[in-house]
Amino acid sequence: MEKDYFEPVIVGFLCRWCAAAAADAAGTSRLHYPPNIRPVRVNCSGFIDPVYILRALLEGADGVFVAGCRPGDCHYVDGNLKARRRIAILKETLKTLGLEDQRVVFEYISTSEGSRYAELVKKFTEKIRGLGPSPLKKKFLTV
Amino acid sequence: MRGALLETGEETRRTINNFLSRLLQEKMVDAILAPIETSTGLVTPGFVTNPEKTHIIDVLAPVIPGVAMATVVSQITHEKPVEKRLGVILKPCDIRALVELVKFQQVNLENIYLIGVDCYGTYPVIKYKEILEKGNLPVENVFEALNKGGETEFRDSCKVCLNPVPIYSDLCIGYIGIEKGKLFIEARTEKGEEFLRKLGFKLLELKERNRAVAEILRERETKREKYFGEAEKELNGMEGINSFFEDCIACHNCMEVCPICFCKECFFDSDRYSYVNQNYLEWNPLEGTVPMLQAKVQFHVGRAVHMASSCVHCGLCEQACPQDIALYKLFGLIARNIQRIFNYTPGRSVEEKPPVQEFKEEELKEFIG
Amino acid sequence: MIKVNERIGVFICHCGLNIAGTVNVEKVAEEISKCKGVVHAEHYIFMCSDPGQEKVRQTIKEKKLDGVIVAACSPDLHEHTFRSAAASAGLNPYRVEIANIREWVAWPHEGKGEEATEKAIKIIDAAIEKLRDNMALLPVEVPVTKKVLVIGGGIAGIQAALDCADAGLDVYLVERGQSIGGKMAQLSETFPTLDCPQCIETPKMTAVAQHPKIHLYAYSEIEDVNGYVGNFKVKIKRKPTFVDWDKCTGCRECMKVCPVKVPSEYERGIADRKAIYISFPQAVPNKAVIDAENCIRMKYGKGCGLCAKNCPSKAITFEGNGSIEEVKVGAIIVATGFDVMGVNSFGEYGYGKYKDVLDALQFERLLAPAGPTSGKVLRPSDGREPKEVVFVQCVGSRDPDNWHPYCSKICCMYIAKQAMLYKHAVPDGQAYVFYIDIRADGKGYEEFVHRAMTEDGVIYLRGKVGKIVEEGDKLRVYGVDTLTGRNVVIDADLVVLATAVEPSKGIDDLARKLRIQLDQDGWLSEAHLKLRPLESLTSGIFIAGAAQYIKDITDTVSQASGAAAKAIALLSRDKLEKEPIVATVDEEVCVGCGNCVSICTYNAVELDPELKVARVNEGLCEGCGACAATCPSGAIQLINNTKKQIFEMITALTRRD
Ligand SMILES: Cc1cc2nc3c(=O)[nH]c(=O)nc-3n(C[C@H](O)[C@H](O)[C@H](O)COP(=O)(O)OP(=O)(O)OC[C@H]3O[C@@H](n4cnc5c(N)ncnc54)[C@H](O)[C@@H]3O)c2cc1C
Ligand code: SF4
Ligand code: SF4
Ligand code: SF4
Ligand code: SF4
Ligand code: SF4
Repeated sequence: MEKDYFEPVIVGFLCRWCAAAAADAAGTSRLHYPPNIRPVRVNCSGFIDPVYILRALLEGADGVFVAGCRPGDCHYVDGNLKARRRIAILKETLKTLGLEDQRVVFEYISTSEGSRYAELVKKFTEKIRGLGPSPLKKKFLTV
Repeated sequence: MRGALLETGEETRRTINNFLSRLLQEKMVDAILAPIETSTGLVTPGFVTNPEKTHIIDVLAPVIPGVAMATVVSQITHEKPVEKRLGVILKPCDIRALVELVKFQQVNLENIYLIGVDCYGTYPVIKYKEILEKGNLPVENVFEALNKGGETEFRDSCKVCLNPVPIYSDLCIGYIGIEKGKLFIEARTEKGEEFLRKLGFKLLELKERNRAVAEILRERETKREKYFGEAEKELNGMEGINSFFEDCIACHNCMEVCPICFCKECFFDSDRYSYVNQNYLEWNPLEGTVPMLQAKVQFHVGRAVHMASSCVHCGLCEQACPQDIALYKLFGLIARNIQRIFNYTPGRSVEEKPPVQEFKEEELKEFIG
Repeated sequence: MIKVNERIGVFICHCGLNIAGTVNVEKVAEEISKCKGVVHAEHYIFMCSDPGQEKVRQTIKEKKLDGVIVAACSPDLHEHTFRSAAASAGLNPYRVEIANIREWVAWPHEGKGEEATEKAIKIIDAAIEKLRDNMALLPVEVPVTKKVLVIGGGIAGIQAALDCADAGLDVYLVERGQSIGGKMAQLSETFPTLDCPQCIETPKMTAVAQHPKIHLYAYSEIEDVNGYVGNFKVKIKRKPTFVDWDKCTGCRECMKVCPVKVPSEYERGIADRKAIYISFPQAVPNKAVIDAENCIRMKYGKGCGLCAKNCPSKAITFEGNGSIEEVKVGAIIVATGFDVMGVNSFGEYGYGKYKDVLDALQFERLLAPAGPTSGKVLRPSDGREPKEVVFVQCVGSRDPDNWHPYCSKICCMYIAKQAMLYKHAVPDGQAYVFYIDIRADGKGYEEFVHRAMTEDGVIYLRGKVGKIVEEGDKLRVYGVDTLTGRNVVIDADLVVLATAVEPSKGIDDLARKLRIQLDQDGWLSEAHLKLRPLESLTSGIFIAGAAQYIKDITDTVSQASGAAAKAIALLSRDKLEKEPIVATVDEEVCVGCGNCVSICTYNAVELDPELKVARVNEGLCEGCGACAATCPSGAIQLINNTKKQIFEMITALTRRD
């Protein structure tokens, strides 16, 4: 049922070699962060088609959190650099249309950075909470 | 650049067509692909092989009905190169599109000679017809507009176009910066020079032309900034996008005509994508109305993500829209912004890789985090 | 996409209290059992335990499951466990998906039972959506050719070839020069032990020649490489020698009579060879080749022919175009070594202009007991014994503005060696070394340099040399000593420059043929500098020796043996199994734009020239999915990670309730 307060929905795309492993590490160290993020484990950040992110936003995500390896660490050499280009194209498009591109982030997180993962997720969740419901969704809620 | 100065008097079109006839007569090309006049006075792409028949060619017609000439070239060369030598008449935006299509392996330039034409601007098809109906020659309106420095009836994308002169071609038929009653046929490549020399032209250099072009660009830069500035305001946020696309009937004509949308089957029309929002009802228990806009927004924004980095600013999307949605405003704006971050100008050179085909180690730091 | 007659089983693990302490597993099982296609949902205390796995196997059989979800810990831990369990019950392992509700849900959301439970349901739901479209897959099995190609016959290639051959593999060793041996065969004595390189390398060279498993292709080059790991097809070009090697006995009678003198590559130009030659006395193969550019007979098509007349075995033909042979191998080791920076690059040092300014490799030849001067140090200009010798380090190295940013690494050591050997040859002479830093980081290296300074009285001057000019029969060396800040001028009899090393010529061309990468300086790129230093990015291609980056003999040999071990391990299997998660192309949809071709790091995609559609080479594809993300029309997709599957997962994750 629709809640009367705002609880952000965040979709995550995590590279299995680094960010997903960092998320594992965060769990293993019992680091707590808000439960809003719902992650998908993907082979590589370079696999992420910007259309996925767009779809998530249009399906009701208030934020999308994408994370890949640090430059130089990519399991597939440079998938993260390819990802960066595509995310830039998407973010620039959203920005141009005033669609709050800050709802999409791309972070580099290495395998060992469990605490950084928890930290970044916490910060991102708070940011989205502050921004309120996504405009792409809000439109449909208020017409 | 060197070229030949032709006296035309009042007979601009005939002079050009005579020139094209000679290319055929002297067997420099076997056929010419050009805009040819239809029975209603419009133009459509067509082939001419008989030197006697070049009179139906209307190179300077300031209108682009249907798809870009680049798209036609792609249709005929994608599978295999043309076997005969083909001269193709192209407007500056056609050439930019053609260069992009070469990079996307959709065009094979073997045996193709590019004959560019200056284009100060084109009219929407409807406006073009109107001019004809009034008994005027649209191209004369263009010459006049060029004299007085602007035309309000041109398509929006033309009004802010920064390439009135083709970036790249073998030959270029020029009228910008050339005195009335004359035309300048510029040789841009060795092949082009060879053509002109074989036809016995004396080659000379015309400096004033560059000055005239620079003048137009200066003025257009300002217009363009203003145009996109206004677009940015209008398209701001979901409210703006919503009212922009409210009446879109999802015919996808905009995609069909776009030279950069060269896919066999558009992803957004395919069953790899087929999109029905499954959550929408759950979203709106309070209001009771849900506009099914997401599919449209996703198509248009998704399309932009696919092609905007190579959009050649031809504005054909806008012209093709049955609902008169001012699409260039949207796609042109997104394209300008994306092309800016990659410092990429579509159609500038065949050597440059399009942004979707590469990446650099050191770039785009501002998009992280 | 929901399909008819789906039979999915979902197993939710308590992990003791690790999961169940936070997530309400009963509720999860209850909610999930309502999902379409789910015919079984249960929770159990330890899914990974034997009884837990047995439950999975039992249920697969009893309920005829066609898909399994295990909601438990990270797939990195037990994906393999459950996939194997399913496989043993007859279910394809790729019809098993793991939903991570421990590390991703229970642990980080301790104390938030309700939210954690809801999140767990979403994550399992998304896994189900993915599972629906998962294809049953078999690992891609590729057959293996148990043969190895080694490119480059320096000490690295020799060692790798011997190791592989001793392990029973057939080895093709391709060397472009007349003989194997590489730079090591040119050295005088070697640091830090000062043993004679011939004494230690020659036996290995002979072993190569005699080993029944090693097929030596000397005077040959790689023409073309195709295929992928386990299955490379290689075309080797034998360059024309104009001598019938089957007949040539290596007696060298031809070389005695040939009238043409050419600067010898082996002697690095300080002595001559003939137009027909065998590079050096211990050369392997011990067979002559004719240098067609300089041979009179070859140049003019007639005349001379003295060698042929003198050849007792009538081996000299003056004919042939060489030949191209194709071999099949399962692995490739690249050991193409390095070059020493060449002539005339350093005008300020008079190099190439003044006869008595030498590069270090030339000086090695002067020091070599079997060299042109029989180990006597004599000036090239007048044959006098030099009494003052200046050595200059870092010429062209660590100089990013003009030459190379990298350190050539071996120079500190061989200069110490050369200065020392010079002193042994000319006890009353004086050696000076200009250096920037001394890098002596190997076993016994620091002590070695120290010995040069103390025992042999080599004077080390920290600083650079500005220029060298000829003054009468002396070379005036203008330098600075940065420790004292004073200018130093030395009137030397001989100057030795430690010029920078570079990747061997033609490596870019070879790398292109092999589809492996080079780094910005042209050295071979390793798959991972720290963790996979012996592998290139192309699987099945290994790298060894100085070709990866300059190293001394000890490191070269270690790395060569390492690369050989990698190749041996790879080829110890009869079939290679590859993850079947690779890209596939829908040819009806592909428009042939080439985006995927450009973006694939592994060169795994090609455009079919006829059909103009993309083709994936499954052997090369690593399954990163970058192609899928750049394909506009969605024609190329990653198996079991299709657009559809991801979209459905997104829908599941964003569903509200
Ligand atoms: C002046 C000097 C003094 C040195 N002194 C010492 C010392 O005292 N002690 C020590 O430990 N190290 C010393 N070294 C370093 C030593 O020479 C190297 O460690 C060693 O030679 C590296 O062996 P390699 O097989 O990797 O390369 P290389 O010796 O360069 O051998 C590479 C081989 O590959 C062949 N090749 C290249 N490209 C191709 C191709 N495309 N196709 C086919 N074949 C190809 C070449 O012809 C060559 O035979 C010295 C180096 C120099 C320059
Ligand atoms: S052409 Fe116009 S109506 Fe048709 S899909 Fe495009 S924007 Fe919508
Ligand atoms: S998006 Fe519009 S302006 Fe851009 S290339 Fe396509 S049709 Fe032309
Ligand atoms: S929108 Fe994308 S998928 Fe559709 S035709 Fe254009 S480029 Fe192709
Ligand atoms: S990117 Fe897609 S459409 Fe283009 S060649 Fe590759 S598979 Fe075909
Ligand atoms: S999945 Fe990766 S490795 Fe495979 S073809 Fe695509 S880009 Fe290349």
